[in-house]
Parts: sequence; structure tokens; C-alpha cells
Amino acid sequence: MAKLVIQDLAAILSAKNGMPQEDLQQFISKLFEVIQVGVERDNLVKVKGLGSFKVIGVEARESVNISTGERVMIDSHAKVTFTADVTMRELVNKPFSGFETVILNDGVTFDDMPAGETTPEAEQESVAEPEAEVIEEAAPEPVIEPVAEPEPEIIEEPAPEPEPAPEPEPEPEPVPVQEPVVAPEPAPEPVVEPAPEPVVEPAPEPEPEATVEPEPEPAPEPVAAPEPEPVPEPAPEPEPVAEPVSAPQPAPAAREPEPAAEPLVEFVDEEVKGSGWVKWLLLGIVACVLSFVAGYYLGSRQSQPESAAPVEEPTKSAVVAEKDTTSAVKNDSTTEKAEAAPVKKDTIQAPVETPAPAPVVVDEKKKDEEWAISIEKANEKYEAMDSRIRTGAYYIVGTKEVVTVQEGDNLRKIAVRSVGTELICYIEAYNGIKAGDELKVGQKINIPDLKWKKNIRSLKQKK
Amino acid sequence: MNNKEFIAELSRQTGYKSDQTQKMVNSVLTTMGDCFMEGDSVMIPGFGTFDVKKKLERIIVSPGTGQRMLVPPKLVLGFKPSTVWKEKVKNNGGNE
Repeated sequence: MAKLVIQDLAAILSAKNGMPQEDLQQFISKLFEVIQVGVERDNLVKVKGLGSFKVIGVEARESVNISTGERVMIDSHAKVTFTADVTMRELVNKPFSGFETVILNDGVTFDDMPAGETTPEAEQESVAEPEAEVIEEAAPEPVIEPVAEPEPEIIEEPAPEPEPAPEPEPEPEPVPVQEPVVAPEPAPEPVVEPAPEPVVEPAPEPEPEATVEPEPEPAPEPVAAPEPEPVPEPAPEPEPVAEPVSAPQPAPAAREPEPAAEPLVEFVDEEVKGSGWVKWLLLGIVACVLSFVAGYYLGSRQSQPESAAPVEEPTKSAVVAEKDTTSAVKNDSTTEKAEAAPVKKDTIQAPVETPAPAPVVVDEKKKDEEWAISIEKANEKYEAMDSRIRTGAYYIVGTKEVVTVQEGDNLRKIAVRSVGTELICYIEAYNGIKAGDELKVGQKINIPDLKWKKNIRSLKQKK
Repeated sequence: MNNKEFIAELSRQTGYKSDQTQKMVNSVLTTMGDCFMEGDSVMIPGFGTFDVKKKLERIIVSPGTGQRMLVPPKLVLGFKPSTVWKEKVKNNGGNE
């Protein structure tokens, strides 16, 4: 997070291509000089790979002096704007490039599900995102609030996401993830229900024994698993498998090619054996389709704030496990279950937590009101300290986190990492320090939890 | 002034050939890009400062359809002209 000047740039460049540093330094300053002159002359300079600089006029407008509260007039003037061009923009945004804008549905209905199923990537996202929506709905505040909390979670997500993407395995995974949710409700077939349950405990280690247990009664998958082993064809490749399967079963296969692909690996191997496999195949596909569809439906209706994150974890570990055991198809089926098992735990825990806040909010509006008033009171102190806070849009409602000062840190850097540079004044006031103050390594800085003033006030007025 | 004119002007002032100038400009910009990716800001005296800022994720409502959309968080490159230049543009600016 350093601030580089021309000298630094020249040093890096000369180390790269061996040109004398002074020449480079001169070149760089000339470069920007030309831009500057060009902007002044033509009002517009476009530089490929960087962006365009433009002079635009600003209309006269009225404003308020933040320290005195007086109304002042700002004359019309011109200013320089810069817009990064596409290459530069994408380069800078690389860490977050995995995200896309997603449309949020209020009542997520069954009808618009299949659209999301077609692409596994889009599905993963849409699974994660509606949840974010639901969380915010549960809270009394308007959804638009730029809450700071959900963010850290989401930031960490891009890391795991791009990683599993290139592999073929993670794609079918969202499907088994949903599976356990189904089990309790429609109970479509005994197949789905008993399977994940006994496996819950042995889940971490993909042991073949675990799968043997549920085998006796339903067991399309476990049964299928041991059989193909003797067959000298363990390579589980989804593509060739998908083809023969989609032929006899066009309808379900077409609807969800991904989920079908994995379990079918076993079945098609069995086909070689050719004894009663059709029955199992049918059973398995029906179970898959039912559980997937119903699971999706249920999952989207329940508000599960945590499930997005934890779901990623078990699947990831499962992927690792799968990698180890891909040689044996049998183990594949166990790990597949292993995936389902830990996820089930997560999904079960999640709903338990979430319903709580909603009714509390409804019943205890009064408490909210008192809370809002107390927050306002508490913030009077900070507002008196800093006019930026008085005129700002946020109240401090508590401590979000405590940050320990690292080597080379200053308050500005900490602010950028936590609340953003614009809100540095809140950290200053909350900790009673100034932006320019020296910070000691190891010093603790409280990061305030900020809420929109508007929302707090609306709590008060609701009553 | 488009990129071509810019390169031509720069090569005229520096004395390099224009294709060489373009190459050097590109390498300067890649170096700057590398700095931005590490979150560093680049300050050019008399010109201004480039820095990377993070925009929080937000929910927008499309006015036409009423659809709500979640816009993901992103990093954007910002530029702040130096005070000297800003004042200069401000005062004689808009000379269309």
C-alpha cells in the first residue's frame, strides 16, 4: 500500500528492461506532461492501456459549509476526470473478477429455477446471492443499506471460487449439497432419505464401510459402487458417460446434465456387467432429479445466512478427497456422500439460527426505538468531536472488530482495509486519535460498526 | 487527442521512434498496473495521483423493470488531479 512516485516506477522499469533510470524517469514525466498539455488543449486525451482524461464542466450549485452549516454557492467550473479503459479496469479489478451482477427475485419461484440450473457457475452464484438478500430482508432496515458486515464473507469467497472452477468435479457438487434438505419433507423415495443420515458421522473419512451400512434396503448407489470395481475401467470421465445415458433417458438428463453425470459413472460401468442395471439407473435418476429440484426449492425459501460459506468448505475438502481417490470409482461414491453429509449438518443448523431475529424484531419494536435513541445519544459525543461525523451518514453502533497495527501501517491504511478511506473520521473519533498520528506496532484499533443514520431514525419513527 | 496523436507527440518530444515510444508507454503502464494490483497508488508530481479504491457491493433497483440486482464489490482505479493542475483547469477550464 505504498505510494509510488516517478523514481520508483523508473527503478522498477530499469530493473525490468535494463534502461538507464534517468532516461526512464524523464520519459515518464514527459509522458504525463504530454497528457497534461493535451488535456488542456483538446479537453480530451485517450491513452490505450490506461484510460481517457477529460475536462468536463461542472454546473454551479448550492452546498453547505460543513463546519458552519452555512449555505454557500459553488460556481460553475471545469474539472479533470479520468476513466480507466477496459484493460486497466479489468486488471485492477482482478481480485473480484469472479463476481457478476445478479438479479434478485423476491419470491423465488420454482419456475425460474431451471434457467439457473443450466450453467453450474451461474447456479453457484445464484445460490449464494439470494441468501444475501434474505438476510437483509430479515433485518428491519431497507435492503439498500451498504452494510459493512456481509462484506468480509463475500470477499473471501472469490478465493475458493476461481480455484475449483477449472476442475470438472465441483460442478455437480451444488447438487448433492441441496440433497439433504429434501429428505425430511417430501420423502420421495427411501433411497435419498436413509443414505445421508447414517453417513453423517463417518463423513470425514471416506470409508467404504460407511456406505455398506445403508445398503441393505435402498442402496442404488452403494450397490452400484462395489460392482464396477472389478471392471478394469475406473476412469470416471463425465463426457463419454453422459452421452449413452442421455439417450435412454432424454428427459431428466437434458434437464440437469451435471448432476446426472457423476452418479452415472457407476451405472454405466455397470452396464458392462449388464444385470438389472436399468432398474437402478432409473431409480437413481429419479431420486437425483427429485432431490435436486426439491432441494433447490426448499433451499431458496429458507433463509440460511451461513450456508453459503460453509457449503464451499466441505465441498472443497471433498474435492480434495475425490482427487485422491479418483482411481477407484467405489471411493467416489463414498466421497460423494461425504459431501452430502457435512453439508447437511450445516443446512440444518442454519435455519435454526435465522428464524430467531425476525420475530424478535417484530415483537420488540419498542426495544428498537430505545436502542435507536441510545445510539443517537452516544453518537452526540462523536458528532461534537468531528464535523464530518455530524454531517456524515452513519452512526457508530458498536465495535465491529479490533485491528492490531502491523509494521508500516497507518490509520489511513487500516481505514482502507476496514471501512474505506471516506469513513476514516469514524475510526479517528471512535479511538480518539488522528489520521496523522504515529501508530505503534501491536497497538489495537477499534473499528466501529457503522449503520445508516436514516435507518436508525426510521426505527425511532416507526413507533 | 487520441492514442495515436498522443504517441506521436510524445515521440516528437522525447526523440524516440513512435513504435518504440508506444512500447515504452506500454511497459510503463504495465508497471503501473502491477502497482495497482498490489494496492499501491502512483503519484506523479504536478499531474496527480492514481489510486485503487474499493467499492462496496450494493443492491440496485432497475427503474424500468423494478428488478433488484446485487452488484458485487469491485476495485476501481481513481485519479485525482494535483491541486495545481486542478486550479488551472478550474479557472480557464471549459475552453470549448
